[in-house]
Amino acid sequence: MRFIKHFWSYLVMVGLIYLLHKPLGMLPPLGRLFSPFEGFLQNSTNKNALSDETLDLKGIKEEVKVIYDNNQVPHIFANNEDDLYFAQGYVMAKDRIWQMEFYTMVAAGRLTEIVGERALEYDRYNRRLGMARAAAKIAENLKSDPISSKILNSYTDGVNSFIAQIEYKNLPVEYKILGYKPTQWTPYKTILMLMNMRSTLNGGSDDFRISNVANEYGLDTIKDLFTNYPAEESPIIPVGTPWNFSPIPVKTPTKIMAVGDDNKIIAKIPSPAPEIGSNNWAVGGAKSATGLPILSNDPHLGLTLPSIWYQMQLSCPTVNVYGVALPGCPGIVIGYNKDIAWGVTNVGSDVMDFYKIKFSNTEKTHYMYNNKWTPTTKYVEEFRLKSGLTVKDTLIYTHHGPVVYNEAKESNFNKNAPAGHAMRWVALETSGSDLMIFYYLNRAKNYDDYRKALTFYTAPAQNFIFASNQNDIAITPNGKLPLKWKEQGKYILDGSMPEHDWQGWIPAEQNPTVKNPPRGFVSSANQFSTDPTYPYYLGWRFAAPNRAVRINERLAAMKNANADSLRSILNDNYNVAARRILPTLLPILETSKDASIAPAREIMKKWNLMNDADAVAATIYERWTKELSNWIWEDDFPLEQSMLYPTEDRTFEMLKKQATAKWFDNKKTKDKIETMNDIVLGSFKATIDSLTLHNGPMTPETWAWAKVKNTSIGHLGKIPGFSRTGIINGGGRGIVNATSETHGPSWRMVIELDKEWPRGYGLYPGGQSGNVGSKYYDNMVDKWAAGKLDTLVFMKNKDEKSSKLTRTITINPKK
Amino acid sequence: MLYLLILIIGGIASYFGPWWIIAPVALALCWWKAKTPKEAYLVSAAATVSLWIGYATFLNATADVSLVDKIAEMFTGGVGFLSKIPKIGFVFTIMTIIATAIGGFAGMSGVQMRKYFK
Repeated sequence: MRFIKHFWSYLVMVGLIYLLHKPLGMLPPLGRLFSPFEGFLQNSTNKNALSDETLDLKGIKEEVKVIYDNNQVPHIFANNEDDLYFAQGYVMAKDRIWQMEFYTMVAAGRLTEIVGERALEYDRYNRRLGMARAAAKIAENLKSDPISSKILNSYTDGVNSFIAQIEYKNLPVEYKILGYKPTQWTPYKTILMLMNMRSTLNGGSDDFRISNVANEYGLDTIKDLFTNYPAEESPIIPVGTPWNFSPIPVKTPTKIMAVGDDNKIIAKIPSPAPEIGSNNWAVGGAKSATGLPILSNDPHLGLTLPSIWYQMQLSCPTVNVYGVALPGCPGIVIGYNKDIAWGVTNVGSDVMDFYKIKFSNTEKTHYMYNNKWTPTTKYVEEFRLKSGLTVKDTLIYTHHGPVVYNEAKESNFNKNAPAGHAMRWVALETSGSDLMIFYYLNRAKNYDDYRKALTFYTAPAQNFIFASNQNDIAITPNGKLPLKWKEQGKYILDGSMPEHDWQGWIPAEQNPTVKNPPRGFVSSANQFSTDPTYPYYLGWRFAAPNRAVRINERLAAMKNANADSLRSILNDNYNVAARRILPTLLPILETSKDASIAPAREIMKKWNLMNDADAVAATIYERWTKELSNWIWEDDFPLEQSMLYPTEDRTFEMLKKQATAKWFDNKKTKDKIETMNDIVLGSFKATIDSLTLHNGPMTPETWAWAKVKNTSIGHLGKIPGFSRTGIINGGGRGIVNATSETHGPSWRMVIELDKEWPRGYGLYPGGQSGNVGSKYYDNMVDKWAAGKLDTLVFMKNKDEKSSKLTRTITINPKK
Repeated sequence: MLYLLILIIGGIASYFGPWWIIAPVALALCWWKAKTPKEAYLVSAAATVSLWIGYATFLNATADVSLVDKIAEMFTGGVGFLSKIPKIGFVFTIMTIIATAIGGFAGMSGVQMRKYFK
C-alpha cells in the first residue's frame, strides 16, 4: 500500500508518456507530435532554412554543386553520372521522401502497415493486380542491364544517404502523424513507383461492363451503340498519313468472347478514368515566329499535394537536361535540353483484358487450357496491419496472369467448380527498362536519338511528342502494344482457348508515328491514335475527341506562334462538346412553357461557349449533360448493375440524328412512352432544381463555374488541413484547360527551341517542397490557377550567374 | 527558483533529448527542491507549460507558414463546432494539457518517491 501511495504519480507519468509516444488507433502520437521540441512545429521553416550548406557524404566521388533557384528548383552539377544520380536521389528525398515511400506502399499493397485496417480492401486489390511481384522481377532483370542498374544504384545510394542521417525531429510531418519512419530505399521501390504510373494510366477496364451489356442486349446493340470509332474524331496521326510497312497478319477466331453468365458479373475493376489524360503539341518552324519549333505538354492527373512532379536540372559532362521528374525515379520524364524537347500523354489503348477461367476443383489447383488441365500457381499474400495483426489472402496465377476477380458462385462451365477471371495486363510485363527511354531522351540531340530512345519503352504506352532545333517535330504513340484481332478484349475472353491469348506485340517500328506532317504541327489529347485505316486494333474507345478537335483547330489557324500563343491554348476554355450539341438542345428548350426554366435557358442562349471561371452557363451545361446522359441511359444500362453508358459521341449522334430512338423511352415508366423532347426538358429542369437546391437561387456568384466546380488539390494522404480547396479557375472535363474538380494539368510546359539556347516556361499546381510547413509547398498554385507560367532557369553551366539563383549546397566526398 | 531550474535545465535537455526528457528532469529537480507533492505538481506543470508554450510561440511566430493552423484543421476537419475555436487556441490547449500532465505528475512523483525512501 505504501508503495502505491508513493509511486502512483510516477506510474501515471510513465503510463502517460507511454500512451502519448505511439499512435493510438486513429490518433497520432499526441505527446511526440505536439512537443515543440520534436513534433510538428519542428517542421516550420523560414528563410534561415534556405542558406548555403556544405555536406560530406559517403558514396560521392567528386564535388557536386546543387544550386537552388528562387523557386527552390535544384540545379545539380556533377562531374560524373554516378554522382549526378546520387545527388538527384539525395535532393529529391530531402524534399519528398514521405511521398516517395507512400507511392511504393500503394503499389505494393502495404498501406495497412501505415494507416491500418481501413486500407485493407484497397491493398488487397493492388496485391491482386500483382504489381509488387512484377516490380520485383523487373528490378531483378535490371541488375544485368549495365546502364539501368548504374543509375538505379546511384540514385538509391543518394536516397539512403539522406535517410541515414535524418533525425526524428526533421522527419516529414506525415511520418510523425502516422507514427512510422522511412525505411531503406531500393531499386525495387523505384520500379514500384513506375508501377503506380502504369496502374494510374493503364489500370482500368470496361470488359466486364460491356460483356454484361452484350449478354443483355446482344451484339447488334453493341454494334449500334458501342462503336469502334467515333462519329467525330481528329486522330493523333493525321488522316492520310501512309503506313509504310507490311503488317503482320492477325487471325480472328470464330468465337470472340467467353460464354456469358446467367447473372451479371459485378467486378470492382475501375473504368478507364476519363480525366486521366493529357495534352501535348508541337508546332514546326513554319508556324512559329522564330522559325524553329515550339513544344507544349500538360499531363492531366489527379491533383495532389505534394505534387506528382518535381522540377530539376541534371547536369554532368554527358548530359544537361531540365524538366520534371517523378518522386522516386532517376532522370527527367518530361523536359528539354539544348537541342530537343519532349513530352508525353497517355495512349489509353486496351491493354488490360480478362479471361474467364474454368477451374478443375474448388482448390483451383488446375484450369482448363487448350483442352488440358493446366496447373495454377499459388501465392499467399500477408497483410500486416498497423495494430500488429496479419491477414492472409491467396493469389492464383494462370499463364494469362493473376486471377483478380474471384466471386464465389457456380460457373456455367461446371456446376461444381468455381469460375474466376484472370487478367492479362501490360503493366505486368517484366521485359525492357522504362528508365532507359528517359535516360536516352535526356541526352538526345536529334530525331534519330528520339527514335532510338523510344525502342526501350514498355508501359504505360505514351504519345511521345518531340521537337528539335533542327526543325523536326514528331509524335509516336509508343510502348508495347499487344497484337490483337479486331475487338479482341473488348469483351471477356475465354481463358481456355489459345486463340484468345494475346498474339504477340505490334512490332515497335510499326507503332503509329508521324514526322513533320504537312499541316505543320503534331498534337495529342488521348484521342484515337489513328483513323481506322491503321492495320492493327488498339482499342474500341479512347478519350472523347473534344480537346483534340479544339487543339487542332487552334493550331491549324496559328501563325507566327510564340510561347505565349501556346500558353493561351493551355488555358483555352472553349467547350467543343457544347458547340456540337447545343444547336440541337436549345430549340427543344424553346418549346417549353415552364417559366421556372426560362432564366436559365436565356443564359444558355447567350453563352459564348467558354467554360470560364465566372460562367454560369458552363455550370448549367456541365451538370445538364451529365443529367441528360443519366436520363437517357440509366434505365437501359444501369451502372449499379455493372453496365456501361454509350459514349458522349454516340449520345450526341443519337440526339442529332435519331430523335425517335427507342432508347429515349424510360423503361421504368410503364404507362408512358417518353420522347427525346421529354427527356431533354425533364433533365434540364432537374438540373436547375438540383443546382438551386445545392447552391441557392441562380446568381452570377453562386452559380459561377469555378464556385460550383470547386477545384481542389487534396493531400496525398488525405489529411484535411494539408489540402487546397476552392481554387478559382475555369476549364473542365473535355476542355483543353482540363481542370475538373479533382484532376487537371499536373505540369504545364512550353519550350521554344533555339539554335543557341532554348527558352522554357512551366509550372505545376504545387511546390517543390513536400513539407506542408514550407511556403514552397504550394507556392505555384495561385499562378497555375491564373494560367500563368514561370520562366524556367535552365543553366548552361555551374558558373552561370543569375539573380534568380539563391543558394548552393556543396556536396563533397566523405573521406 | 525550482520553476526556473526546471525551465532552464528542462529546456536544454529537451532541445537535445526526446520529447519526454522533461519528465525525468522535473522529477529529479522536485526530488531535490520541492517540499510538498502539491507544490511540486503546480511548479513543475507551470514550468513545463511555460517551456512548451514559450518555445511553440517562438517557432510559430518565426515560421513562414503556420503549421499550427494546419494541424488544428487536421483535427477539426475545418467544419463543426471545433473549427469555431481559434486554431492557435485549439493547438495550445492540447499542448497545455499534455505539458501539465507530464510535467505535473513528474514533479509530484519526485517528492512522493523521495518520501518513500526517507
